[in-house]
Amino acid sequence: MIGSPLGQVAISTESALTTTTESGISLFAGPRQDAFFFDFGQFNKVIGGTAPEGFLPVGEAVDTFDGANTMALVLEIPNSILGETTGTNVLGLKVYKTWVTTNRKQ
Amino acid sequence: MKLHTIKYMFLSLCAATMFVACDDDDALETVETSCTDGIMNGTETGVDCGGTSCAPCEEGGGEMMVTPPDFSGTYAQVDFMGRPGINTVLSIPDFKDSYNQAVPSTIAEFYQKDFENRLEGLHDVYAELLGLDPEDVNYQPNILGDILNGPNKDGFTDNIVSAEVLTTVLANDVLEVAPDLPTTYFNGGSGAPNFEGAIGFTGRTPQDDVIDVSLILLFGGGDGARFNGQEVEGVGTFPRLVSDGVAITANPTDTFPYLGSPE
Repeated sequence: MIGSPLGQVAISTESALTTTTESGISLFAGPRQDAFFFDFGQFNKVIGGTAPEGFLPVGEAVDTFDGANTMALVLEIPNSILGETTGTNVLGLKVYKTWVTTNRKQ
Repeated sequence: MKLHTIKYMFLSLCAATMFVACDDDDALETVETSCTDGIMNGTETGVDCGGTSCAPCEEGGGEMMVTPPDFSGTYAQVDFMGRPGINTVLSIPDFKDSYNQAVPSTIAEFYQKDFENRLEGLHDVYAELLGLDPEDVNYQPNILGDILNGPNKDGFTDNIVSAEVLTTVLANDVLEVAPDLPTTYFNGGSGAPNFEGAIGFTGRTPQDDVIDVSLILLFGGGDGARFNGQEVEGVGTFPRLVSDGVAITANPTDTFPYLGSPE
């Protein structure tokens, strides 16, 4: 969105500083809990062929990201701004197709 | 799911670069600004000064004055994410960098076959651990085929979600978001064999167990539990590959920005 920013928001620290623009877009930037959960250590053993049992049972498995924070950018955009859906998913439902990239200045 | 009416993009990046300059746009409404907290926040243009809420900063406020970020120049893509976990689980070191620099419209064309090979390779790993011939232990069509076609009592012959079909879907690595439906990465409804009410790929909430969904599609076979740590007569104990055994421990909220305060 270079050249056409959605809006601006101050970077939060402990408490959330949020911006809501006139067009209804909400913005947040700052540290938050990392909600992702995954036994990444056991996954590496699984793909490495060193875990005959596969993943571990509930109680023994370890969430690698438990207690982790992450730097988060959160946008909430009204559906009305997005326009009509442009695609369908594998179950035949009408969807937008979204993705995220990180770009580094050269 | 918990966020039926709210569609949002959830972005979690290793580093955040955002606008920090002051702004005169009246449309902006910043909350929880404090002019005494010792940090520059809200619309402040220096620490606890300037902006719309605080006293003006002193003339030539030295190092505390903020230079607007410079977004000029050329930027190159270094990381790509569509569906959570797919890049992690199915891309391999040999092509991880090129995958991260790819464009969604062409990504499936380049990586579908690699994904399929990776999927079969992971099955081979467990064939060998079980003492079986890798040629005999392959991906089996998964629950998506049952949901699309209805359950097939006679086996998997009518299940259209072959390894090629599945990896084509996954290699089209975008997060699909349906604006008019409940947001869920996948919900199997009543489960096998009928999957009544199943819905999926309409978005993703932080609570969704995206890793388990991916594992079920890759290793779950027609009932979603093909490799689930069970005893199989004449073979031994099958590995547990359809769940990583962990559940969410963070505390997402139901109000913006949805992710909990840092721990």
